[in-house]
Amino acid sequence: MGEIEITDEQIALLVQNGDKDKFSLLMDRYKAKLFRYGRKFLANEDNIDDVVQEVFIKAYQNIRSFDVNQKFSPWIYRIAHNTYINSIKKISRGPIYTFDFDTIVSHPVYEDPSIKEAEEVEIKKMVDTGLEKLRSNYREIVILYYIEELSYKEIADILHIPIGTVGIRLRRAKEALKKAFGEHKNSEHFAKVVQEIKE
Amino acid sequence: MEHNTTKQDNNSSMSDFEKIVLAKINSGQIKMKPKYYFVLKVVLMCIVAFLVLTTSAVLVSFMLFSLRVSGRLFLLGFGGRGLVVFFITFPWFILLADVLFILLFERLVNHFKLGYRSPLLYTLGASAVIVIVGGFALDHISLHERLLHQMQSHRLGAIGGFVYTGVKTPPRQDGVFRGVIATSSGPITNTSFYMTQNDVVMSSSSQATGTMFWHVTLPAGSLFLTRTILPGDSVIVAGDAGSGTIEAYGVTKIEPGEDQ
Repeated sequence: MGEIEITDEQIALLVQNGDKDKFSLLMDRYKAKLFRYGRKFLANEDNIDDVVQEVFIKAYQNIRSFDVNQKFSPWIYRIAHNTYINSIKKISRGPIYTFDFDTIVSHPVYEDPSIKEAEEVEIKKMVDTGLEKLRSNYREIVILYYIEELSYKEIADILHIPIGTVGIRLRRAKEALKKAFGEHKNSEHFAKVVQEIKE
Repeated sequence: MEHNTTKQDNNSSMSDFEKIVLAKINSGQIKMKPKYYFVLKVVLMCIVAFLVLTTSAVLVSFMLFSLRVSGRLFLLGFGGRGLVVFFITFPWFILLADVLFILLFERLVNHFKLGYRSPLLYTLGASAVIVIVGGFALDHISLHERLLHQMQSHRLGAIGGFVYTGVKTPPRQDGVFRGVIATSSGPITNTSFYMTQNDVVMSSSSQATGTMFWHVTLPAGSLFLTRTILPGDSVIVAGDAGSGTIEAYGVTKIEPGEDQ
């Protein structure tokens, strides 16, 4: 069978113009990513299917708000972010996000792909053991940057925060993750994970 | 733009939730919102943001106006005690309302890229600057003076009456009195004089206003900021009021146009 090259933005345009069936292509491309994002972010969510389904329903309902001259990926991730936040709010008693003082002032932005590559392996190992212990905003940014491999700019558009804040929050998230991972060093669970990685 | 490749695979199967979503789409259970919905939403947000900012600027201008016509602004020249009274009698509730409006504006602006990409300090700072400049501009065109005049001519309605009644004459307990030098009740000296105070709210229930006569005394240490005062001069007196008397700690003459 021949391959058809069509961008997400082109598909979105077709859907906007009434070709409803093409929406299945977008679902096909993003379902794995959004499931992965949802599972890591929501952690304790039993009905991940329902939540991801809700994301795609909202995406379809609001597809005409998408500007086809922009990237589709941050747009749908933004919908997913809002949906997952609402899902957490339903089961959580306290506030999800406390006020982030890092959004008050500007921070210098320095996104180094070589540093990211070096850290990626280490961070991905820590994610499975330490992620649940992180605060929601730290957990999410680690997932978006290291697991979903989005850029600072894309993450800023998804979370609606300044680009500089993405860098600062990511740095703090890494520190928190390392600390959480370190606390598991002597635990049986850690030994099991290390064994699984070696295998 | 992203480039992704799809393979037409005869053996690919849709997951259950994809089938559910597509079924809902095809049955019409879920529908795309029309384009004009989003356009209207943006337009509405812009209008609300503009109204919020304008209201905030009007509040700033009213704050400046009330401080000036009530004479409270002159307290800043009456030494430490004047400064303290100024801060105590400052219309903090208007300032608080202003801050809340600016925060509301910030929430609206954050829906747009320009808003959320900028650090909070910059957007709040820019909003505050716009509001303050707008407030000074509205004050410069004498908006509130004209509305006050309309209120005094009973052409402003109930709400306007409520807002502007007593703005020129602060409550007695504030200790700030705006009046006109009188000679019919006694001589003018460096330690005492008489003055009439107009537009005094006599009844809080009816908002009826009248005129009061004061004997103003200036004990040692009080600040008399004008060399001479003459009958008919407008003055601001700050002090403690008793029965028909004011023991002043600060007096200043209002030059023509100074309180406009």
